[in-house]
Amino acid sequence: MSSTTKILFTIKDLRKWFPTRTGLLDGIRRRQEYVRAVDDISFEIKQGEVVCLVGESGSGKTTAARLLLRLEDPTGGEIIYKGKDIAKVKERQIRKLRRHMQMIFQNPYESLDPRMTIYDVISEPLQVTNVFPKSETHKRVAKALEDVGLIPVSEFSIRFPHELSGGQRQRVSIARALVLDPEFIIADEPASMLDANTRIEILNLLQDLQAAYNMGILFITHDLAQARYLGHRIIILYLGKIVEKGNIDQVIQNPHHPYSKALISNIPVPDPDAKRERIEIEGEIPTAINLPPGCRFAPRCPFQFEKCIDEEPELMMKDGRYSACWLD
Amino acid sequence: MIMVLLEVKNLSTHFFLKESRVRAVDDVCFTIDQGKTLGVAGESGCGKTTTALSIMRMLPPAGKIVNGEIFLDGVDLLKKSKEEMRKAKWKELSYVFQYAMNAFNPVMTVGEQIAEVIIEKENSKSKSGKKEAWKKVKESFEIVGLDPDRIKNYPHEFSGGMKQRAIIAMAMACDPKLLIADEPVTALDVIVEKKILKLLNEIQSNYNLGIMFITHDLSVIAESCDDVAIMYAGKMVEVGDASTVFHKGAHPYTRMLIRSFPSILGECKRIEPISGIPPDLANPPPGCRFHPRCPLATKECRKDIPPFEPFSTSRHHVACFHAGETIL
Ligand SMILES: Nc1ncnc2c1ncn2[C@@H]1O[C@H](COP(=O)(O)OP(=O)(O)OP(=O)(O)O)[C@@H](O)[C@H]1O
Ligand SMILES: Nc1ncnc2c1ncn2[C@@H]1O[C@H](COP(=O)(O)OP(=O)(O)OP(=O)(O)O)[C@@H](O)[C@H]1O
Ligand code: SF4
Ligand code: SF4
Ligand SMILES: [Mg+2]
Ligand SMILES: [Mg+2]
Repeated sequence: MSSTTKILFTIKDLRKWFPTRTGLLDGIRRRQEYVRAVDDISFEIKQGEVVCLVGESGSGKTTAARLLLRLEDPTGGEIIYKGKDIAKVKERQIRKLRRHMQMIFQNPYESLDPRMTIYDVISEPLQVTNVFPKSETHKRVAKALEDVGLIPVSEFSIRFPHELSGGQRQRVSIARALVLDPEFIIADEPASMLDANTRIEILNLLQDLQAAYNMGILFITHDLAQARYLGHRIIILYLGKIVEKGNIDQVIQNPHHPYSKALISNIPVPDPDAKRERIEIEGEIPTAINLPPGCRFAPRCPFQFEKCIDEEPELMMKDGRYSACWLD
Repeated sequence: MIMVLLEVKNLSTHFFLKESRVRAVDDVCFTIDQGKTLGVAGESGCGKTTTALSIMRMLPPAGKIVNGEIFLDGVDLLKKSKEEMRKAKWKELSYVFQYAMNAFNPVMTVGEQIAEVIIEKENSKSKSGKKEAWKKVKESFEIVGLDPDRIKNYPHEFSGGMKQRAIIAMAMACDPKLLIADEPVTALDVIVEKKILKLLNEIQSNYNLGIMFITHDLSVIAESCDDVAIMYAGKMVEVGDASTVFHKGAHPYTRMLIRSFPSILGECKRIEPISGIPPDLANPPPGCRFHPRCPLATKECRKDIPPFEPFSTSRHHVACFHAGETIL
């Protein structure tokens, strides 16, 4: 990838705070509290690049993705899509842009309407957006089915979702995303619910399509092995904040941030004789409400010291990558 | 001396549907030693859960054990009456079923649900019996690393990892000899997953428990199991100790399955999935069930069923006419 590659997204200080539900009386007595699901994150996605968003459950991955597509309104920050800030533009304008950006969801069993044939599922975005002439619908659906390997097209077109395996359903979701010729796809855990062989099929398919159409992909996963397999760059989130970002091989081989270190050292590997050093961390990820003033990882960090509790570390560049830790 | 805890001999379990018979488990043999963990892996639909449900005698109405013997501590479970089996459940052998985490009753506290099992099993509805049961609930919370003060919490007040611990606490509450855990970590983050695996290993060595650990994730098996059993299309294709199966696996399916796991260690190469799809178990192919997808298949494989025989050692069993031959 050359440095002149087009930048698709520039995200600046993006923030989403969800108000927590409070009782009537609570509202009078106390300040409104917030779940700081995404808390001032900044990153870029270039054309033809796979950026992986990794983190524990509840770290804010899906919320960040939904913000990029404006399926959620940001509390603050900028979402610059090809030079234009779309963070505050109206829904009607967003709808026009959305055909360039598509999303694939985690659960192939829930994300498809059971009453629609595969043909209808895939042609629906064409009907709704109306950006291509009606006469092209058939050709476009057939091409999308072919691209994802659901061949013979005529046979798969008339089936219903329950007549397909999990892997085939996920191919349908991908075809549905492809049919509008997007330049950017968000894939939220698209392969995690599938067994090993089907998982690799789906990852390979995404890799091939990405290369063939030079798409940008934001790949969301909690599985670093999948991230490494598909990704160019990685962003590690912890409680709504980026703790580390950079080239994926560099980060996985030599993580800087204590949380990245813990995460990577706990990934199981398919070798019973592999000897690896484990960094254990206490407890589970808390909810991002009432965050401490200092480093949010401090309560679980095996390396924390005084400063960590008082002051929040900023994301700093070191050796070609960013991490947010006072030790760095 | 190694003592065999569970011995499954020539188990066949079929589902009798209106128009077909699904041969979900066919002539399966394996053993689990006292204090050891057997990891059972294979593609979705290969019969892992059906094998577990057969051992527990908890099959759905269409499922029938058509052949075989299942010895627990030398006693054939299939010869037990319904009433005897009901008594054995939880006390002799217990089961953490697939998706169990979501099966807690939302309107009862977690503690009440565990106490209910103990009271029923110990047949102690008296006041002192109930008191004793609650004491055991607290102990079981301690065993799995949950704060005993939280026995009065409702399921929604627990995180995913805590619920999974509580499920294990329930399974351990009546001191079973054998624990069958069906995908116990599949929905969890790596850090929580690692903690649950460590917990299971600790419980196992403290209580000399035998564990049957079902998962489609071979990396998890590599991290936590002594022995490995690989199933394909209702058949056991290879069983041996973890190191042998992972490094000297002799069945082509085993070797291809292991290769299909991306890892964070080593080189990041493109992985080619096993071509084709698993067979329809209502209509399995003749001969070796893997032959339509096997690169080593010969005429013999298409005609005869390969016997499940000792291969490199007496503990390592493989069902393949060309076991150990090089795959190009
Ligand atoms: N609509 C909402 N209202 C209130 N809180 C929300 C909402 N959506 C998400 N959250 C909270 O924001 C935080 C981040 O959630 P998010 O779904 O983005 O996490 P995630 O990283 O995608 O997790 P997972 O791996 O479980 O999918 C969580 O604490 C979640 O409970
Ligand atoms: N109640 C049922 N009626 C008919 N067929 C069934 C039933 N339950 C399971 N089967 C079939 O039996 C076979 C084995 O299913 P089983 O659930 O044991 O697989 P598994 O290995 O546990 O899969 P997974 O990894 O998806 O949990 C499959 O072909 C399945 O379709
Ligand atoms: S800033 Fe302190 S608490 Fe935070 S990750 Fe670094 S060492 Fe740990
Ligand atoms: S018996 Fe034949 S078809 Fe079956 S796994 Fe061995 S070589 Fe392949
Ligand atoms: Mg999510
Ligand atoms: Mg199962």
